This record gives sequence, structure tokens and C-alpha cells, in this order.
Amino acid sequence: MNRETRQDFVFIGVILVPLIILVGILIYLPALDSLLTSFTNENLRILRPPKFIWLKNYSKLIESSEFWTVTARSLLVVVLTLPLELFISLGLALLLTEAFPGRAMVRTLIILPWMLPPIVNGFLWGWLLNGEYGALNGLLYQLGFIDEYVTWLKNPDTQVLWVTVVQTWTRFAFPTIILLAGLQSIPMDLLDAAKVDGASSWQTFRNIILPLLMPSIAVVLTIEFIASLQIFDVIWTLTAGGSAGGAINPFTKTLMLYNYELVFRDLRIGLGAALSYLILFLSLGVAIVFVTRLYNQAVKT
Amino acid sequence: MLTMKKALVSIMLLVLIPISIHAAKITFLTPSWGVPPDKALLESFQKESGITVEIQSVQNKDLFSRIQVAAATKQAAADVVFLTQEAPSNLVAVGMMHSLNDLMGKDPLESDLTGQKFWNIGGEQFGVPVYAQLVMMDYNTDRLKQAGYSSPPKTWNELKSMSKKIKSSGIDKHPIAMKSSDWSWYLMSLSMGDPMFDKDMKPVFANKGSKARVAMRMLFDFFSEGLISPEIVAGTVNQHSIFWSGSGTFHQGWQGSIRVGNNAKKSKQAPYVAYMVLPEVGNTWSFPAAIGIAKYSKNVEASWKFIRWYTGKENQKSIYNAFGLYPSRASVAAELNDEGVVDGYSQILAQSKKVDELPRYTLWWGPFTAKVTEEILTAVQTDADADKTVDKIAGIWNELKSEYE
Repeated sequence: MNRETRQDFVFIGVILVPLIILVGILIYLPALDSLLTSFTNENLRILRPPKFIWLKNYSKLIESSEFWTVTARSLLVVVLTLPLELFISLGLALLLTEAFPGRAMVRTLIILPWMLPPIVNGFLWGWLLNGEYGALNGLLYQLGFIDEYVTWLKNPDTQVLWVTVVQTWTRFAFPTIILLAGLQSIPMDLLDAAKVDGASSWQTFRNIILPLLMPSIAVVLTIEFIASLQIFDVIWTLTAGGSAGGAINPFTKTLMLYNYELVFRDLRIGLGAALSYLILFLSLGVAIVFVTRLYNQAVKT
Repeated sequence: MLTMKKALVSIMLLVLIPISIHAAKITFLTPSWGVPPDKALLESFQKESGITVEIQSVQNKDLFSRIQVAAATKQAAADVVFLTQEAPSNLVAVGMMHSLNDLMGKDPLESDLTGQKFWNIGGEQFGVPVYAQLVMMDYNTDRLKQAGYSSPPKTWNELKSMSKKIKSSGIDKHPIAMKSSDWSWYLMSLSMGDPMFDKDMKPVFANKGSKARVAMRMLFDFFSEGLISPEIVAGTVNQHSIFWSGSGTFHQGWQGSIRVGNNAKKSKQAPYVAYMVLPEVGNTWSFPAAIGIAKYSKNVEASWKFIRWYTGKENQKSIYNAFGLYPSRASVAAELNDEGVVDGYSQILAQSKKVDELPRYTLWWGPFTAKVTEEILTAVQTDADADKTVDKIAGIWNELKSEYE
């Protein structure tokens, strides 16, 4: 056995194997346990041994209108959040690649909302949007845009929109950083050549920057899709309307809140586990599309 | 040699002291109003008993889920748990609390502590009552006078018309401080004389022409006519905070709530808040809030000592003075009354004679009552029909009942 092979064995034995065991114990074992639970009627509220009911939990969910309403609402949050986040973060990333005084400070400030826990952001926005003393009302009233204070979070039609705004505010820093890194990896000579060839800013962006940025965009879309689909904290603090007994505002109930309701409030462990797997399949499906279609295609280009 | 021995003893002490300290440390999971208000009193308990109490103040909804999740893995989220109105179904009926019978065998509870029976299920005691809760209503006497009324309403219709006049005359923009939740509907229904459930647990609230249907319709009217602040629907405030901030003439409170309402440091309604006996038949529900020990607690003895201190006379007095929560110890209540600090005693007494309990111990009460709030929230946000909402709630009850029975 030569030295290199020995080193490989040491690497596998000392670093890789414990890591695989750890990941197996902490992630795959509980996941397998959840999968098995999803085939049972386990309900901690009913003190009885769980019975194997095969796919009944899955069919119960798929047949229920609440599941589809909640899924549609989750997808609506995703559809509204992703373009908004991408638009803001791409604009900011483009701006931050330019040299200007105080750039380092601005870059740091932009990360701030991302550094704050989503729960803090939720409460913060809850106060801003308060209809009695909220700062937004104060500002709009002073500027003459409204005649009287508005209860922004009362209307069920606008609640999801506000959730989108707060989620974008909470998350936009992360895509900005990824896109900024992507922009800085674009070779300068390509941009210089475009300038020499007389390409306009738009042409440079469309034909050089955007195609080269596609792998970063694919990463951003995949991660942000998962983050938006699994949104919980922002809704919990902003519009969940939780009261004694844990009632959840039905108009902003998304998949994760529904999952919380089933597992932690109603203690329907079997049904909740089945829902977790449906969420996993949904996330996985879309992530595969993003990665294969956008990332791989962009890398090939 | 002696120095060597000294060094060994010192090392042993250093090792053992943290162990003994660790053994006497307990955690107490409670909503904000269960946090002992008198810090000096708590400190003296800790000093005397050698028990360190780590208090974790959380929202009600988080309290249940923490305990339930921990119990699923046979762990205790905390040693001592504050038991609120949904705890019978969410914690006790599902077997997540420790029976106190053994502890009470050695250290029996005094008969002075009222409400013990409520927490005794099948001969097992699961909680020691802290305060007696009687859901009541209070009102601002000055605003009523400004609107030309000399006494509180005797019917809900009267309350509604008074509120409309108070609103239209610009005295109060949102005269009713009630929540878009299960509580408001139960309170109005019971007060109108609806029993809500019969002895077979059938939801008689859904009977044709029931008072509960009238109550639901009226509750929706309160919202649609702007008599209740839309901020309550948005969930950013609750009925108490909005009332004490100065908005509201009629307030869904409890026995002791005017103690807070008339405290100028805490309420802009002071000093004009008075109780009213609930309109019409006037029924309400009562509830002895308690504390107990989580099923998988490893510090049962220390927890019991803390519970005994917590439900002791001194702490009950300080809780009443801070939050207006009426003591469960009859002797403390009598003392406070003698001292003249129990405001509105005659109304409390009158209201306490009109009580109709809700089936809080049924296994499915927890998910049911949460769904009731969700249905009410949905309805007031979409101007839904009251009768359809009541029918839907009855459907939810029957579905859960058949599932859990």
C-alpha cells in the first residue's frame, strides 16, 4: 500500500466514516422513522398503540380540500416572493459591484436583515404595520397618501402580500451575496471586450452577464424556493393570529403551519409525518427542475 | 499529610457542590402572568430551600407544544408547568402530567385551596389551584355616563345599541373589547342561556333557533359594524391590552380585572372601570388555573416544594396585587376582602352564582376550540354567514368526537 492510498484510507476512516455515521444517525434514521410513522395512525392524544394503515394518511391528505388550499397558498407565496427577491437582489448585486465610497459599509448593512432572526423581523413588521400606532401609517399619513390609519393586516387578501414583503425583506441579503460572488467571478476581459465592440450596457448584461450568472441564479432560486415553501417564522409572528389553544389564521396557513398544526397542536403524528413527506417530494421535484434545467444548462453553456 | 487531606476534601467539595446545585435546579414553564411578580419573595424561597428556579415565560400555544413534543420522547420540557384553560385537554387528558397523589400523601393540600376537584381525574390529582378564574365583563362607567346611561346593559341587544350610540357620538371609536375567538362566542352563548353541549356531549349549540346561533350572529355584527377594533382581527393586540390602552367601553375581563383596569400605571381607563354581571341569563364559565409537574420531570420533590411555595399565601397575595388574579386560597381571598382591596366583591359574588362549565376535559377539546377560533376568524374576515359557521363548528365537533371516542 503506497503512501497516497494509506492517506486516503486515513481520510476515509477518520473523517468520512464518522461523518457518514453522524449524518445517518441524525438525519436519515429519524427520516426513516418518520417515513414509517407516516404509514401509521399514531396520534399522541389517543393513548393507543399505533396501527399500520399503509397509504391512508397520504390519500386522506390528497383527498382533503384543506391540503390543496394550503399547498396553493404556499405556492402563491413562492411565486410572489421569488421574482421579487431575485429582482431586488440582482439589482443590489449589480450596484454593489460598482466602486463607490462606503461600499464596504453598504455591503455590511445589507446583510443585517438576514442576520436578524425571522421571528424578530416578523414582530418588527407587525409593529410597523399596526393600524393604531404603526410607523407605516404615520409615514403615509404625514405624506398625505392616506386620510386615516389603515389596519394593514386585517384584510385576508392582503395578508399574503405582506407575508411576501416581510419574507423578501428577511431573505434578500442571501441571494444578493450569492449573485455578488457570481458577478465577481465573471472575467473582466469579457466585459472589456464587449465595451471595445461597442456593446451597450443592456447588451452586455443580456448577452454576457446574465448567461454567466445563470448557475448562481439557479442556486439562488433553488435555495429560496425551499425557504419560501417552508416559510414558518414570519407568518407565525406576523399573521398567524395564535391565541390560547393555538388557533392559526386560516388565511395565511401555509404547508409548514399546517404541518405544525397536525403534529404539534393536534398531535396527529402519523398524518403530520405523511404531510412532511409530501412537502419533501414537492421541494425535491422543484429543486430537481431548477438544478437540471437552469444550473446544468447554464454550466454547459 | 494534613494539607494533602485538606486538598482532597476541597476537591471533593468542588466536585460535589455543582452536583448538589444541579440537583436542586428546576425549570418552570409558564405564560407571562404566571411569573412570580414579587422577585424578592422568590429569591427568599430560593435561598431558604436551596432550589434554583429557572423561569421560562412563553406564549400559551408554545407552552403546550413544548411539553407535548418533549413528552413524545419521554422527556420533560420543564419540571413545573402552569396549567391554563386549555391544559385539561391538551396536557392532562393526554397523560402528560405527573400525578401528585404520592406527594400529597406526605404533604396534604389544605382544604383552604379551592378548585382542587377540577384537577382531580379518576382519583389522581394533576394540579394545585393558583387562582380562581371567572370570566366576567367590565366597563367604563364614565363613558357610559357621557352617552347618557346610568347603568350597564341587561341584554346583549342593549349592549349593542349602547355601543352604537357611544361610537356614533364619538365617545369611543371601538366600544367593545372582545376577541375574534372561541372565548367570545362561548361567553355570549352561555350568557344568553345556551348550554352549548348536553350530557351526552351532543352540540346543542347547533340546534335550530339556539341562543348560540343568536350569539354568533351578534358577535359578527360587532365586527362588521366596527364596534370591535379591526386590530383585534389582525391579531396584533388582544382585548385586554387594547382596553387598557384606552380603546373600549365594554371589556371581556375576569374576576380581578378591574384591579388592573383601575391602576393608573397600567391602564388609561382608570379610575372608571367597574364590573357588570353578564347580560340576560348571565352564565359564564369558571376555571381554577393551577400548576403541576410534567410527567417526565426528574425533580419531583424540588418541584413540589416550589408548588407549595407558589400556591402559598404570600405569593397568591402578590399575584393578586400585580395581575388582579383572584386567589384560590379562601383565607387569602377573605384577607384581601377584609383589607378592602377586592374591588367589586358584590358583583363577583353575583357572577360566581351563574356558572355553566364547558367540557374542557374531553380529549378533542383542544383541537376543537382552536378550530372554533379559526372558523370565527375566517367568518369575520369574509363576512360569512353566522348560521353556516355554527353548522360548520358542529360538524367539526361531531367529526372529532367520532374520531376520538
